[in-house]
Amino acid sequence: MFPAFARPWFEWCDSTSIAVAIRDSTWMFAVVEILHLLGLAVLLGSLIVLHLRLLGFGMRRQPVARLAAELAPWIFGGLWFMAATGLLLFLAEAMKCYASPPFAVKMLLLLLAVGVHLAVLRRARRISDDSPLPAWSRPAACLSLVLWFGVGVAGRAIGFQ
Amino acid sequence: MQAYDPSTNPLNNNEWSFPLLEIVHIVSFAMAVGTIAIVDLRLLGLAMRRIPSAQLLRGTELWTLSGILLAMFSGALLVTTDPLNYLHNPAFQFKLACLSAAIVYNYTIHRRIAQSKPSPIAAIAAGAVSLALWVSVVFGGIFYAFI
Repeated sequence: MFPAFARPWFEWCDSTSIAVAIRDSTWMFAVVEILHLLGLAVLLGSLIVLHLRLLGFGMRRQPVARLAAELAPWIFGGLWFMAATGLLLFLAEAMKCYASPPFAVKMLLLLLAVGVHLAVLRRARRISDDSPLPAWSRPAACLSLVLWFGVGVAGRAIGFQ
Repeated sequence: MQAYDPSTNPLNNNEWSFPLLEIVHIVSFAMAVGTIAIVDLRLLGLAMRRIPSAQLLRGTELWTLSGILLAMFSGALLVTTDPLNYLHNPAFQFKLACLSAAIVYNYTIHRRIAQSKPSPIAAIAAGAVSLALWVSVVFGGIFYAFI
């Protein structure tokens, strides 16, 4: 899935001592996977609350800007936590990921999701408290949710290769 | 009476149904646990302190319920692909026990406390128990594959 010139890098990841340690241990991969999933729950939970508001479905008594500001640490905390645990999972299976279409798709969707999300969050923080939802908020929220769910789906699909 | 033979299960007889079900299972579980976790973090006083927990609960409960129902439905179908192995696996039994407790707890004590204006101690206890239960469910679900 990845170009051949990237192969040595994947091989290097695959041979790092962390990767070897995780592979050699019977429980380490499972523990990291659990942490990764718990990070997903926190991330998805906070994303849903924010998107609910942007879609106009819930939390309507809360100003968008405040909700976005309050949720941001949890969204980014969840994201960083998932990136850290995800990196460990990746190292342990780097060569598998090298050949895995779902992994490539997941990384692409992740990039898009983070990009769209940053743009949405930045704008959401500027919506003044008593103004109605701007025209972009619903389509942007739909796009962002679809991308995030896509990241999750592709992520699970890596395990089926 | 004839014994159930999993190899006759349509879910075992094509390549895509099992992965698809598992994807639905994971995404719906993350939806349910994630929205519950947000309310828990609020109860613990860690997140969104300016928003009352009752309001957060009201905003998220539909997603929580849809997530739980979808996860239960897809989970039940997943079990039919190999019932004996699931039901006899200690990690799976642990998961089912925690899940039953977590669901009952979520719709009784947890809900009542989140809807009231709880004292900080009651709120922290309610949020911590909820998080512990749901983390245990996830733990059992993943460890099932490693035992």
